[in-house]
Amino acid sequence: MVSVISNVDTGHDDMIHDAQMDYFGTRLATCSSDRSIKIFEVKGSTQTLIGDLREHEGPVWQVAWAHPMYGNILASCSYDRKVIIWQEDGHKWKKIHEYANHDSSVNSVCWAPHEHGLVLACASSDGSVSVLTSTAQTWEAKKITNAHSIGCNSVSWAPAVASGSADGSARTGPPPQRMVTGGCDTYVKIWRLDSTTGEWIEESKLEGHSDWVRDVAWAPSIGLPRSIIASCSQDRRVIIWVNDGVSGVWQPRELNTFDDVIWHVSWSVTGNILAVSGGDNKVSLWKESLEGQWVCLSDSAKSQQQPPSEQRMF
Amino acid sequence: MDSISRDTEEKWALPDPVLLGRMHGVVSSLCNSLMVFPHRHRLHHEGSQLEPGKEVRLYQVESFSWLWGRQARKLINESVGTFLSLQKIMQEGGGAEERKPTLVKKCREYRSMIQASMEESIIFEPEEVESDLHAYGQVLYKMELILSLLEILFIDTKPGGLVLNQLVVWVRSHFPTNHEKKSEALESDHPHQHPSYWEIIYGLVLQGSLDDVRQMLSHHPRADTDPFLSMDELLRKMPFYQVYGGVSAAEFTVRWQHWQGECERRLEEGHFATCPKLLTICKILCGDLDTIGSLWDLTDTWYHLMVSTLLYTNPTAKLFHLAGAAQDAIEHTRGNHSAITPLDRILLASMEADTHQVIKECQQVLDNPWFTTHLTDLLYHTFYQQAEFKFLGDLRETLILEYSEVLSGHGSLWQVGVLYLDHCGTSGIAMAQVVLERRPLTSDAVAHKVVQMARDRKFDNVVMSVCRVMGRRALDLDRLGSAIWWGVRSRDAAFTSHIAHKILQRYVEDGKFESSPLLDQLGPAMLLSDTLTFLGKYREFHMLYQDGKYQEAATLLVSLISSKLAPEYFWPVLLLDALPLLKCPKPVITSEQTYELMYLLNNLHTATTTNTEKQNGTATETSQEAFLEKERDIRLALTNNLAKAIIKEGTVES
Repeated sequence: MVSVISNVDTGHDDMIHDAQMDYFGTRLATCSSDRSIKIFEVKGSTQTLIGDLREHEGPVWQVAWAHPMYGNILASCSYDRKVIIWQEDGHKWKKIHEYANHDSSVNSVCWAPHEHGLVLACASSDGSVSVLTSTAQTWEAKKITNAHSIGCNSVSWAPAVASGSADGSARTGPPPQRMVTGGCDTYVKIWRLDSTTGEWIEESKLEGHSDWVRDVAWAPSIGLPRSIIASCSQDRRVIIWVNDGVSGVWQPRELNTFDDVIWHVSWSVTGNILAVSGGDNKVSLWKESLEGQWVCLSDSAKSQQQPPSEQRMF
Repeated sequence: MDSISRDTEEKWALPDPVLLGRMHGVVSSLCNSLMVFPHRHRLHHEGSQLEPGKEVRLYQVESFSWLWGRQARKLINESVGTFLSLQKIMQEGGGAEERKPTLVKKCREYRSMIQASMEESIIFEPEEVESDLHAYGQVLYKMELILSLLEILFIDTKPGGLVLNQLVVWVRSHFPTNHEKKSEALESDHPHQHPSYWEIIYGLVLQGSLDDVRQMLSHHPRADTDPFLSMDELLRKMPFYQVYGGVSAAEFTVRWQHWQGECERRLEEGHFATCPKLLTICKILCGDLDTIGSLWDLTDTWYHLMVSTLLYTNPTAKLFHLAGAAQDAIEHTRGNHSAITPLDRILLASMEADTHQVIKECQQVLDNPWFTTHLTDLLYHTFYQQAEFKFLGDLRETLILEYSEVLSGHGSLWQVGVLYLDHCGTSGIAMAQVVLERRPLTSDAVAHKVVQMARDRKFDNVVMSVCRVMGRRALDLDRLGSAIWWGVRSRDAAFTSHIAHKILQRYVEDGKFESSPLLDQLGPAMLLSDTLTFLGKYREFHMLYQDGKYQEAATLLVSLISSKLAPEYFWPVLLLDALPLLKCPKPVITSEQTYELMYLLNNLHTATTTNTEKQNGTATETSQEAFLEKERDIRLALTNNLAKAIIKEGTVES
């Protein structure tokens, strides 16, 4: 049984584009077309507004929380071509860095796993991906130009798991840095940081979608050597890409063809559940069965009333 | 093998006025919750898409189950104990015969937990939640029914595989009405006038409680007549198979056939012609299917009917007989138009020995994995190393993961979840790390708890992450002592150096040490970073000086200076610290050491004079000013000390 445990007026004056829980699930950041970002403290089923961040000059598309070992840090990206990094200082939120080196709307921001340091990837409609790295006092930017022609819609980091150690506990050497991007060129691309040259290299170009790729999400590692990426597209499909960690090949498996464009895919923190939402008014949750099939667990916001719980009949 | 996961698609509606249900959802926290908000994609060139007066709302959606009820808490806490002790015993090894008693015992522990919880739910709760509670009680009853059947069929198996005796007991304990009514009737003055007198007797016959039947019959006014005496003899003589009774199954069958033959003979000879009720009983004893079938409403369910039928037709039934018998019983009761329920399907699958199907059905029908997890674990250990049950291993792990994930979102039960993950292979380890790392660190106590649990499991990365987070928080709150304490525990050299610098800089500013007791107890941990080592050693110097051990203090100070461990901004402090030692009447700093100090002073002099134009922070600035004032003083003290030291050293050598 599913129930709505809370229902809060966000105070945004326009559509929300993204909502993200922080690392511990105790704070929630939302961003909106009203150019603002709001931060809520979440306790059980109550949310209290604790921050209202206004610096952007256009709709804010996405927000991302950094690992709390670096403090309370939030990144946001906007149609105003800017990426802003915010930090909570006392009870005030301050802009600590602004990156305005993209030529078009910045669509997506994603923090690297904390093992790599305080590093942020940003994907823009200008087709490039920027990687911002925090050094002692400043931020260094490295840009992958023309990562996707026409535009890059989404970026997501690979979990930091060293090859050969399934649980990530006994590492030898730093784990490789990888990220995945999805763009208007219909491709999903995997990038790897070459540790000797310090350059980002296109490692794989995954062809499977037939229209703009809207979102990509690299699944958290759940103790297996394999890697999983979910991608969704304007072509109404969600594809699960699996790399067994041995052959190095990304095998696509279509999750489903939906009734409308799919805008968003996101993994639960344990990597067990994938939430899919799109233009068909539905949010559906998917889980991989033991046999490797992806099955729909539940589907919110569609039918009028839930059927009586089957358990009662059992 | 088909899919295990719950594939019954369920849908829920969230009415929101803004975009008529155009929703967008994000899962992100551990607590199985989903954030949902209305959404339409990126139309940035338009004005506000919101009609005036409408609010943009955010919904937090969470799955709900009986597991979160107050009554289930005890069940959760008790079952983890049984689970863990079972894993421990199983790990210790032993053959199937050694394992079996443990498995039976643990299975009964689970059953008694369920029963206890069921009784509590009946007794204690107020009426307001009655219907929920009733449903909860029902679920518990059914879980216990299933578990006890599986115990008979797979776990507590008897030599020869004969199952009927246990099934009769199973039916009696789950359908106690006949016995209750019997007591009720016997308490009355005229038991035979009880409205259900004969129904009770038939019911007891169908449950094989023949002594009770005889007792009931003895209260009949005609108990002394021939038909009743004849029946009493038949009931008394019916053989029951005893596993350890010294009679082989074959021998038992012979006796049983003989007895039933006797029943048939008396029936034919018309012993009961004058008493139709006794005639019915005798027909049951003869295994007359029509008679038993006609009484099926006294058995309530097909599985009771099945057991009753087998009791008088095939008393040496084995597991493989049950599938057919169950089908027959279901077929018979189907006439009553009662639909097959999920419970029926689970029991049927059990009798068909299809454990995979049993688990799958349970999974589909229950809203949380508590029962399925423990059941699968029991079966996994029962069929350990049997090729055909290999699937149980993977299934068990998946279910444990699922159950722990449910628990891990809970404010106080997350620790229980981690205990399960310890017995769940590599996936369990990975998940336990996530659960611990993401535990909201609401207080120092929680942080210590998480660190302890992570350390017990050798999750170094989790320990590091939690300590770093706590260190960072303390730093943000300007609690430097606490920050360095956590920093040291995180073993993060760069972070610890950063805090150590902060502490030193603050000392330069106001001459005070934050949380000096913490710093004084660093021990070998101070070797984590150079700055920390310096900080620790410098504190040691202070202690020596305070204790009046000037000689040792001086040696330590000079070694600190010459080792170049000290950050540059701290040099003036060190030289000023040396001043009182240089002025000691008896020289405690040797000539060699004095040269070192002079060398440092010269370096510092050059650095300071070239740096004065460069503004590099007020803290160092003031300390430099203070230093310049004292520079003359130091030079003088150095010279004096050098002279004294040379004289002293020369004197000793000669």
